[in-house]
Amino acid sequence: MDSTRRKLMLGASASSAIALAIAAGLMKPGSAHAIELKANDFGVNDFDAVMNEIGGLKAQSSAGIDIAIPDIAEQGAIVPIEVYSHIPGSESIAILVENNAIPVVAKFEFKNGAIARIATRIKMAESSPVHVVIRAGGQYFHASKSVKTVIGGCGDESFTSGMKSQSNK
Amino acid sequence: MAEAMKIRADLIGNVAKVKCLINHPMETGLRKDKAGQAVPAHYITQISATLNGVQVMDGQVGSGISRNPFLVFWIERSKPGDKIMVSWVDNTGDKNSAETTIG
Repeated sequence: MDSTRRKLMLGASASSAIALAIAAGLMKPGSAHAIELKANDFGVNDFDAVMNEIGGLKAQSSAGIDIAIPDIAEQGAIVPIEVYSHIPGSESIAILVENNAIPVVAKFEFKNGAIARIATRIKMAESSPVHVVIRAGGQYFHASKSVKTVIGGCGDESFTSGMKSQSNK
Repeated sequence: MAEAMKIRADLIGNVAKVKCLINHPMETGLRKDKAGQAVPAHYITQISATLNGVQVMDGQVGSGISRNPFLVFWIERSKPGDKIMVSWVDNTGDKNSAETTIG
């Protein structure tokens, strides 16, 4: 019951932020993006639902997507990931962590010379498949990689002590 | 107000590799502090980049990005003197941006 309330609050705050962004002219509603992530997708904890939203369920698997992520992440709070799509005409990269409370991590659009390649650091609550959905020329492509976490990354601050004992890499 | 962010662009051939480090707590809203109180959600919702004022990258992000987000992206057809700007907005309406010139 408590957690439902929190999810509701999270959804509400996320959508108001997007509304603000729209008001500020930073995001145009319904522009350019074929499939737009809804604001509250960042509060949804149903992996299949959000995968569907983002085009992942109708995506074909592709070998043209490089995902560089450790097989074993020492601490889930900071997992480095690099995604590079070699599919011609790639327009966007979405990153999802299946077992996270909020599976969708980010979606990046590339245009005007930007290469469909992104490197960042993500949180992983526990060991999970990490999914990547690419949109290229109106089609969707999918690749995934399984990552084991030694220490989960969405909980308390204990990961800093864990980091010291795991510094063998 | 938001802390300063770092940005750096290196030219490799005609491709600019842009690295960007943002100071931000990226609180999910699911975490509890030591007193057991939920820490309010506070995370970046959008990160975008421009090359000489033209948008090249637009990211919708959530709290699944690690604290102090680090981002690397690549822009083709870049040359020395080009200006790259990265800006972000968070769920509280706070925002910041940083600009660099390819050297």
